[in-house]
Amino acid sequence: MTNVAELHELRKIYQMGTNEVHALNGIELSVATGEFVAIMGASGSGKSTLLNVLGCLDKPTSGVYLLDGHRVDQMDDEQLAAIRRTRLGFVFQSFNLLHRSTSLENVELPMVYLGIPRRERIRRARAALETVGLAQRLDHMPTQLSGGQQQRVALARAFVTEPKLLLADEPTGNLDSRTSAEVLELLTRLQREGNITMIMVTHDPDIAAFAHRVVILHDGQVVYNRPSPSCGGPEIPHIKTIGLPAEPAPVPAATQAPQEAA
Amino acid sequence: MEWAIWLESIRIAMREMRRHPTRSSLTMLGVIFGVAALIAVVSISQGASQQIQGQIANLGSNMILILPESSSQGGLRSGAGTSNNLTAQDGEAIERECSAVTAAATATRIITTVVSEMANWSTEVVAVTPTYLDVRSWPVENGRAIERKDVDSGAKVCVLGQTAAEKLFGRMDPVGEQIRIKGTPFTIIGLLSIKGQSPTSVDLDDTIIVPLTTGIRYLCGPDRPKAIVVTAAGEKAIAPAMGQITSLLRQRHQIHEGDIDDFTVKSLEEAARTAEDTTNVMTTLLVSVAAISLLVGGIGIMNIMLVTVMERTREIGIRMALGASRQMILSQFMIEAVTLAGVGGILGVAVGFAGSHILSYISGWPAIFSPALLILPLVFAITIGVVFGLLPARRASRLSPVESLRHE
Repeated sequence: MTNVAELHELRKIYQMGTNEVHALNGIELSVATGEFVAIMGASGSGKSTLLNVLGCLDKPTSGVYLLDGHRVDQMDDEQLAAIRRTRLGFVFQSFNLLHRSTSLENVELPMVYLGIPRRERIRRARAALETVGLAQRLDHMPTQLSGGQQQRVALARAFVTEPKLLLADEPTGNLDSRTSAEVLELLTRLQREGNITMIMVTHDPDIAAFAHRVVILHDGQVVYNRPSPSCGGPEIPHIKTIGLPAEPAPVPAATQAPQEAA
Repeated sequence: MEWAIWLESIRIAMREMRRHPTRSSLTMLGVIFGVAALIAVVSISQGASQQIQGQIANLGSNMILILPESSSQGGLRSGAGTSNNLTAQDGEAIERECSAVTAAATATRIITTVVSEMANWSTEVVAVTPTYLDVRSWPVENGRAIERKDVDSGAKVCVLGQTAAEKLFGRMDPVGEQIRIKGTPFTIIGLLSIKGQSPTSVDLDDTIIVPLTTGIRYLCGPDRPKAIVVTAAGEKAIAPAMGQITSLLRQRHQIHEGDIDDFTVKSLEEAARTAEDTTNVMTTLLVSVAAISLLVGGIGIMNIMLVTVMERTREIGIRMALGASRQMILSQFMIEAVTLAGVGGILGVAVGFAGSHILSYISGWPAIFSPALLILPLVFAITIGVVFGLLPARRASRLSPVESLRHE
């Protein structure tokens, strides 16, 4: 099995006034084709920064990032945009649908940037929305949909371009537990059926347990990297017990992302 | 850039405009007024310019006018056109000796009351040599013109202008009828075609033409100042003709070197050019004002686009995450700005077209439209959209994807 993503000595340093913040401090990570990896870690551990770099939304300060055989760390903005549209898919905690566009238009959007003709775009977007069970909601605006439905539109949008690597950032963080389970089940099913590599950030060990492998970050470094319990690995340790001395208590999920990258 | 992305961008732009009807229309208003003003100003000043040209041409093409200078008796100068030093012989000499001149006519005029069997009318009577109507490019509609034999014999014949004919004879054909001018009976031999108004709004058709000799004998006497009208051999011949006339007349009037002329030579082209220059100055001024208002419209677009970019920061982040490059984001916002300007421009053309017609109708000024006049302001408006859309679009395209996605 070849690796879709490989990270070596990856660093990301932010300048905060006179202080340097080492958000990523020499990350080593490989993700194989078709693999589903959960990334965990406390607030400030570098999860979101890592996800942004993996998603080519942000550039590492140093180190190597090989994505599908390309040296992404050395690309310019234009090349990164091309990588995002041809090889990556995103699912966000806050769905990030265009709220003035219908479900169908939202799912069409990544194909617009791929230059796919309108007719084919619509055909594929319809099919994708059917797959996520929203065939009756094509012309609904996001505000007319429930949270679970919105996230399913987002899933259709992420999978419709058949990405090499799908990045999910707390995809169930804004959903109640019942809807969470449904969305998660759909997500893993699409991942499995499409043989799509997926990296998911979560703080919830129950959700991480769906993955093949669990990676835990602490202070911008990988401190735990083992198969998940469902794939014969050990119990996931509580993130609080990783990297003592003790950290502050985890922040509620909804406000986690912005604080983390700061 | 892919075609699909352009279409999508135009669709987004139209949708944004529909979703904010008030904002869009207020933004476009600046462009609408700018374009409309531009069209109204240019169409009406083109109309005015053409009207002036037409009136000048009406006076006689390539016409040169020679007027006597002031008479001076014992140091008392009586003002321009008062001396009687231009003669019919001067006119003949000009026609004979000046190579750049094709025809010259001598004329003098009085205002007097004329009586027909039906009515009386106070009008202008012009006593002329035979070439006069040729120089004025004024054909006879009915009957015949004054001929050399009429002037040589001092025949009591006359030709009527349309207004004079109507006042004296109503709708009746006046040719062959008699009128009395200062008590002398004249036979009407011809009726002139309609000439219209002079640039100074004088009714040129309110006139009666008689032979010069007859006029001097019966109507005004020999001392009345005369003028000579000349046709130059073409537009290029006007300046040489004026030079030839001046030197010939100085010689004939025995004016010594260094003394001033006792006559004035004027070209109607000159008058035309002056009138045209005035119109052009006005046009330039008004077009500048209209262009500035269009520019202000552009600033309005820029302002709204900057607000739009702020409001849609998160949308921009999402689009970037889904694969939009900076170039694509730039194009999208450029297209939105250009669409605003373009739609405003089209509406402006419509408003300007209608407005000019209304203004033209109310004021009586003619308005002239050319295809260029309808297309150029539109092109100008779109250019404004490009120029003023650039800054907001650049700002949008330079946003960081990570920051934008975090934006509330």
